[in-house]
Amino acid sequence: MLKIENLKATVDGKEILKGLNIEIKPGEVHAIMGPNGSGKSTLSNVLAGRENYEATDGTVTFEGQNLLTLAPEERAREGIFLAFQYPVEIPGVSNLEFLKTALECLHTHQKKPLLSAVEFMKLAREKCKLVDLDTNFLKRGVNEGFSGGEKKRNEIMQMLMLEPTLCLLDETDSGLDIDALKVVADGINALRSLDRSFILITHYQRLLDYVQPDFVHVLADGQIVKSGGSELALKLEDKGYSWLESENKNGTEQPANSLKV
Amino acid sequence: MNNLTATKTDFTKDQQPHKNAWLQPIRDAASERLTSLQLPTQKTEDWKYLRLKALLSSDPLDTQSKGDLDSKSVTDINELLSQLLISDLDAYRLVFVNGVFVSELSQQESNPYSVLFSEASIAQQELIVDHLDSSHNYYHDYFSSLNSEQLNDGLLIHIPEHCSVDKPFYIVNFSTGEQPKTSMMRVLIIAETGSKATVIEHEDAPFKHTAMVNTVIESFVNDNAQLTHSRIQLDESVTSICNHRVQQGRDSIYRQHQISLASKLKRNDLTVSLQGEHASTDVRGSFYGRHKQSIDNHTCMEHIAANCSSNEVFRGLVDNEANAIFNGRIHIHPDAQKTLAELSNKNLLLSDLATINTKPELEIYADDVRCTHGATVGQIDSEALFYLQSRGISRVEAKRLLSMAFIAEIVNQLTESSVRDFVTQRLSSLFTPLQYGGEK
Repeated sequence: MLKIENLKATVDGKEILKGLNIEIKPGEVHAIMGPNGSGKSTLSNVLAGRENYEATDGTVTFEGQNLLTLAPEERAREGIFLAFQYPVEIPGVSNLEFLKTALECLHTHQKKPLLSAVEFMKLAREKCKLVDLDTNFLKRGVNEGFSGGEKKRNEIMQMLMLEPTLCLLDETDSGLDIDALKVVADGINALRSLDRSFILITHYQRLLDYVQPDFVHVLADGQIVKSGGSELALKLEDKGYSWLESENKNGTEQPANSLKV
Repeated sequence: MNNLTATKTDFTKDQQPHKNAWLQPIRDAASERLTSLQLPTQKTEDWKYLRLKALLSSDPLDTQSKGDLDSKSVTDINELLSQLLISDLDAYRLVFVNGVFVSELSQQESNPYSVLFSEASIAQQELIVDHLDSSHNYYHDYFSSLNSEQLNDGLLIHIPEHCSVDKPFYIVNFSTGEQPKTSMMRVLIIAETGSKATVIEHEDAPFKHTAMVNTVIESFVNDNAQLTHSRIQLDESVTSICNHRVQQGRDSIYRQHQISLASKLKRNDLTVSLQGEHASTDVRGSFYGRHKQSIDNHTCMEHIAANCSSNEVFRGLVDNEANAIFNGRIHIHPDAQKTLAELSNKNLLLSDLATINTKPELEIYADDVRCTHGATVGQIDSEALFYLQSRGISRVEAKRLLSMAFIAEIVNQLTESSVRDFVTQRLSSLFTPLQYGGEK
């Protein structure tokens, strides 16, 4: 589904990703962990096509296509979804209008019939319920005045509406209380299927208690320094990232920051 | 009969023989004023940012649109025009083409409140002569005097004392023809003591003609009266100059909502005189300019009496190489103590080549007043743009959503939902149509 080879990327001219390799097959859930500043968010932003995040070398192939040449909206229409670490507030554009426009763009691209107003409302209400958001949220401006937890649940709500094939979740679990975390995890689990993949970017084991990953990767200084199964996350939780440095000195020049939860 | 075939005239020349001899004193007074007035130039302070060249250019129609129109009968044209009206608006509908009333398109049943000057009774004639050109005009009087000098007809809306009009007046003026052919539109609204009315004015250019229109509107909102005036100026192809004056009595409430599309040249001058204590004024406007269009809004709040309040909010969207001007003046006279006056103008530049000149102007001669003013110029928030794009929404569509959101505060103030929907749809359609996949 997604193949990243030797990806190097700069943000405002500074190299952050330094030759990253990862392959994700349909149906897999990959967790990417790593200390602050290791390039996790850069990776998700490069994949989503954010301005100023420039891939300088390497390839990213998504379902056979060169992803890096596509505009952000084209990537989204091909099935990539980024749940933002900091969702943006857009006063004046209602959630309803936003979701409707997004869904129409998507369905037009996929040559699917457009939903009627009634069908759309039914779907939106249903998904709101799944992430425990009051349907009044639909009438309000996008993320306008939402609490941190509501914003994150709104990201999951959008993901449920748009049904992407590759979901990138950039620290969706940070700042959530345990109930909200469960809601977010339930949303992810509801979407898990054989042809849909996930990249969960996270600092903590907590989310992975609810969403079992197939693979866990550790990103440090712009490269994957260790990959393993879900047990790797537990080990990191226990020992912090410093443990990796002593074990895995060949890859990185700079010692990664120690981070123990 | 429509006025579609009216002779081509220069906008300064009066070509038609005068009708309605009782209006002669108004015309004479205007002629008198004009002897000392000149066409504004770039050196006229209030006109210096406007691209005035457009005013004097002639802009012939292309032969095809001319031919298209010539081949149609008046009935066909009326049919076409009727499709451009806000059809689901329950209102007293008064339709004009180039300032001339078209009864076929109007809906006048049981409307005792409005009359054409040419059909006015003796009492109404007296009322008209008493009021016309009596309201204070802060701005350069050249065009409004031209309008008066060539005055042949007009519309009077007269709301009797303590009368609440059951539905809005919907005044439409369609402009057709080619510049410099100029039509004159004249409206006089008198809301007597304690009365209440809503007026919706819709200016449009159905065939994208290049005509020119010179409008003068005078509103007298007497003691305790309430007037809501919505103006939707959608005549994008037309050169338009409008002088709008409002005079308010004690405890009166005047609300104005204005949604304007720019054109080759569009100028709106608004003077509101708060002459009675405890009068309040609320003016909300938004404008959208694109291509190489110009739009210039000048407003002046004359606080003459004490204890009045005025609130003014303008929001501008300027795209491509368009040029927009906003000048908001608040003038507080010595007796206008305890005045509360607020003024805000926010603008969004949608392109690097768009320009906006915005200027609040406060002139205060009383010492116990509260005035606030602010003006901002910004660009589309790139974070918001990326957020929308990341959900599959194209850049153009995202720009449309964000632009409409920027002026939503104004559009949502329109009191009639059918007008709101009409305006929203019209504005939305001006952003490049939805394109999926291919567009960059």
